[in-house]
Amino acid sequence: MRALTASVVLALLPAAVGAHEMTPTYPELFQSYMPGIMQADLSLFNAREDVEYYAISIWDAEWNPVPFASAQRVMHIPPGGRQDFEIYIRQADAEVAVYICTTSMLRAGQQDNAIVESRICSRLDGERA
Amino acid sequence: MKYLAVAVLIALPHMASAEGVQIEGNVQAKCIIRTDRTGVYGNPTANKLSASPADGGVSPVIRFDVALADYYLARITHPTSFSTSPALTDTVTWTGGTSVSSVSTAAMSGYDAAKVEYDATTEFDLTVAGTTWFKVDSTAEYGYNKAFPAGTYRAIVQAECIAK
Repeated sequence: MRALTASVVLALLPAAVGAHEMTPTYPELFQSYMPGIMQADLSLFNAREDVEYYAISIWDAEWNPVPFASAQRVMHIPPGGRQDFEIYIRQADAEVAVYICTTSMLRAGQQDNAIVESRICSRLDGERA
Repeated sequence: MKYLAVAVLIALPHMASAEGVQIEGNVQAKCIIRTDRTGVYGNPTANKLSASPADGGVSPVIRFDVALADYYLARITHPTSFSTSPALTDTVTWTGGTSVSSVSTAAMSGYDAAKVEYDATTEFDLTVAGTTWFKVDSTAEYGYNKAFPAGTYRAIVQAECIAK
């Protein structure tokens, strides 16, 4: 019992704190240099000292995944770094795409592993009325 | 006199640049998620892990900053499984919840009453610009009064900020 208590407390000692920020809230989809492909530009700021990787995802209104392309689906952003990124989606998918999200990726098997997963989602379907 | 004219000509661009310096900025809708305190599971009894201070734990605190009012929903999900644990042969019963622990303006005082809970998720409508701190409670109980095996236990809280 004493051994269990010690291991739990030591394993979950508070880790480094920090922030995850993504802009803009309502990115604009515009015609990319490829016919039939729309593009949006976003920026992510990572101030979380316990996270270095963020995954990009795109979803429809019912939270079903929407296919997209990007230079990197998982971005390596060192703490304190800012990364501008573009996403590309087909014109047909632009009609249904609603949310574009970045999610912090937690590494397994490390003692300083984060226990809070943060996700920020912007809207691709235009600013609310 | 010639030297004076040259000196004036040299100084002119510097005078002009001193007048042209400006700082610009804009405020746009954005959300920032901060993990102010991650959390610790206490082990008050052999079959229980709890982040409650009453059980020797520390509740995680997550801070949401929104620059403009009424643009985002905060969605926080308490753990329903361990991401790291020893091999467990019995079921784990999870309970938990999320509540507002602190606010930057009094206008946010209604957030707790207006929150929507479903499954393990609690949703808050961030209708006021500023900072809100949310506290997450999490408890795991093993089997029927069965002792958790010794080892490292870790569970993940998901904090989301969704544009409205």
